[in-house]
Amino acid sequence: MLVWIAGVCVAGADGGRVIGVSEIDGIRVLLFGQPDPLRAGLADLGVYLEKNGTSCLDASVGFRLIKLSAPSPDPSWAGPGCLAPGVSVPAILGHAGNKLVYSAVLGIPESGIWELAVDINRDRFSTALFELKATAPAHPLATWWPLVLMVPAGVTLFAWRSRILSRRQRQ
Amino acid sequence: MAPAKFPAMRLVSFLCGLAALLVAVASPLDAFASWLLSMHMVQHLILTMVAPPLLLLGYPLLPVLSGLPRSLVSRGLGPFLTDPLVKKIGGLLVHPLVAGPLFMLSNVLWHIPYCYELALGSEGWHRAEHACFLGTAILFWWPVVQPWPARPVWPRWAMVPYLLVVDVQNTILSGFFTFYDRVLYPTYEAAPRLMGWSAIYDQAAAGAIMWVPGSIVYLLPAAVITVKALTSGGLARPHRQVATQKKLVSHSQVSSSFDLLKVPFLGLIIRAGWFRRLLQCVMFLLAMGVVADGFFGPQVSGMNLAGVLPWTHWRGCTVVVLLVAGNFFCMACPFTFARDLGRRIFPATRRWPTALRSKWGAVGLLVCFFWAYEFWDLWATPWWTAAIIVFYFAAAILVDGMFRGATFCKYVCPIGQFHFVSSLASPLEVRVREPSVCAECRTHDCLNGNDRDRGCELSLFQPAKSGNMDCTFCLDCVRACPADNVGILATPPGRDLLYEGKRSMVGDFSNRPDLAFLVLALTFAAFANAAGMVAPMVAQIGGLRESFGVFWGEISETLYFLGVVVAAPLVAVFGCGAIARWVSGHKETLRPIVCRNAMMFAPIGFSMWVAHFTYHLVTGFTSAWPVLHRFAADFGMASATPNWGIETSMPEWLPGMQILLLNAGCLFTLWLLWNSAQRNAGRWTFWSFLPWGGLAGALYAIGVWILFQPMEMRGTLMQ
Repeated sequence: MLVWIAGVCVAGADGGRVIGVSEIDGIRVLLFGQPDPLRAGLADLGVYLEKNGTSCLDASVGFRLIKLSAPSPDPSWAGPGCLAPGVSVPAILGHAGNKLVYSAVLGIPESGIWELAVDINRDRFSTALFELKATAPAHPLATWWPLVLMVPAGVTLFAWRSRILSRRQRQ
Repeated sequence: MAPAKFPAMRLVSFLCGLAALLVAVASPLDAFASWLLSMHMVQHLILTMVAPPLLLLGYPLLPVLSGLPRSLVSRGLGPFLTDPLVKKIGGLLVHPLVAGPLFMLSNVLWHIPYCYELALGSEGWHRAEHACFLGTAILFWWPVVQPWPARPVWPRWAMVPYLLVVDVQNTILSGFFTFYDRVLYPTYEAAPRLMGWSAIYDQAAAGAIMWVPGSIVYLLPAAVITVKALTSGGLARPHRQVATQKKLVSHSQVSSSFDLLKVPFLGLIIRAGWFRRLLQCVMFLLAMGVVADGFFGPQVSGMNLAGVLPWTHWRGCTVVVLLVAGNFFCMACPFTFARDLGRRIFPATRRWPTALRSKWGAVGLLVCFFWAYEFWDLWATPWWTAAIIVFYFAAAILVDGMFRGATFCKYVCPIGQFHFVSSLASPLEVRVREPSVCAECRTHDCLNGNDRDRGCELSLFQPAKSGNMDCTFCLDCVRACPADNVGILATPPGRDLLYEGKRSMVGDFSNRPDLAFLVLALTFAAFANAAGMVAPMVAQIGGLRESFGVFWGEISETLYFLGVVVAAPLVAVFGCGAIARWVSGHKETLRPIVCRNAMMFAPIGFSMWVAHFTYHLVTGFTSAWPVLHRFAADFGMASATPNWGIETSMPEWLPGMQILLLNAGCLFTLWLLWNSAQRNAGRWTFWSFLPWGGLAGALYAIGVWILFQPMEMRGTLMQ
């Protein structure tokens, strides 16, 4: 059960920090992003829409990434399968733990300056623009090191156990 | 286990503790933690003040240990739990003079703006913060709750000042939150203001929550302890209980082994002869569909049954079933079904030549298959896939039409060899239920058969059989045994690899170089096959063709492949064997050392196959639907155009699962190698193990590197 609880704890600092604020057609758009600062690779982006102090939960929202800076020789690690989500994806309520946020996971293909277009379709169609800086991608080991450490940890524990048993035998 | 110590309230308390944890980490509390400090504070209070005491009040130590497998507790955890050093470290950590300061330090440190902002900005640090809170809180509450069988180190009354000191720290910190007139954490200043709360108001509310309910949680147990101590006069130092040697596990009865054939209903179905025929028929029809589509369908692998079903679904399902159950795909083999039909025409009167009674022929075919797979991109050419299946059917009918028994399965079939080796790590085995019953048997029907049922076609004599090598799970022996003494029993995976002795028709592993090389070829091929799909290797192989031209490029590619699958394992194992023999001064010749240890690499090789094939299965699982739709439409059984745009995705958990599988395989292989060295090298165990362990470690490192590379999406339209 503890393992299961640890497994469902996927949200962490759900939605991340506010990394941009914009106002368009009377709607205040707050952009959340993780990791902070953004890196090439998978990015969890979300927007909170607010009008006259109340949340807007009836819009349809989409994200588009447009590269502004020159191509980078620093492509991101997309994980096994080269299957990063696209650079243009719909953002939905309910993707994040925080149900007030329209969010989606985007694949930032490479480092550099990007423009994120947040397409909001409510009473009318409007687009809020945010400039994002994506730093160099993280090595996959930075994500998966706890799992990789399991082997040396297992070997160490086994060696320790053998030592305990042999000491006991000597006694 | 002293049942009086565990009334229902203990269980209720423990479950409430788990529920509190769940509320803290998987409820809207967590979702709004980066928006409202007050929410975040509630989450932290649950993690530090509610969940830990409830969990500890459940006295979870012995119930948890009793719930674990007996061998894990006695052989795995037992040495640690009874080790004086571990006990000393554990005792030190829960000593009030250590646990209290640790808890307070964790509270103060994580509330410093830099640390708090770090946790808010990073999921990893946020988890570390929560782990820190929970961990130090468990240590802190330990001396207060004293979960049985823990022994108190301080008199009970000392817990009162202990709790009060922590309450003072809590009051100072919460007072600071409440009265400080600037926003401490900039993240909350930028966050949306829900309920119209300003950031500073939210901060004051968080302080109040920390102050009032927090203080109550510390003061309440302090009051209870004081009242109890005063009423019972128990202010004196507690008597130290005499430490008694207690066994961690007190199960008096040995749990009976699981037998799949004894499972109601399911067991009856599996053992029935028609069940195997049914499985074979289904697989045969699927194979026919794949062949037809491979020859006559579109020659795009992602749109053809021959490009999808065998390479994505069948391979993936096979390794998953081998991992969680056993060799059930040999049971459902369509080639055996065809050869059984063929035997109605061909009499099969000859015996397989003695010179060929080994795995060398199958090893050769296996290496050829792997080479052809890489060289001609078999997965990408439906026509070739169909042709191979037809060839396979023809070979099965021809070989078993001429030679008696299951010659094709035992000596020829490369797929069968893959299943045999992989099933060495499977948890189920066709085995005798009660050996004493076999001791009285004179007819040996499991081997020879009888009027009703045939015996084992692979000549495996059940009482002398060990492990799954060469067993096709046909269950002929099960049906033939007049005493109903053969079942599909649970077995510790890999048990047979440590057995040093003769097995029926397999012999001693240390005397079977063909088997050893089969395992090695499969192990190294697992890594080579996966590496052949990752971007850096694909680029390197492409570079060979560009540098040397097509012909010489292909030659170098072939040499490269043979180097990895044939030469590298031979050099590696003979090198390791020679070093191990030299450092340990062992008198044994090199051959048995190499053969015995080479077999131990089966788990790591299998784990790489599973990691690789499950990746394709999971990411390409849905790719079968449009292809089946198209196939049905070709026969006029469906009208609409297939949805080729069906989403193919990689779940977030998949890379982690792949690494875990590889971890398990590597640790298992290391453990087997260590055991083998222990048995055969005496006091030179470590030095004898070292080269072999190094080889397993190197394979593991290569495996991790491969898993961290982008891999081609074969069998789908997303290549």
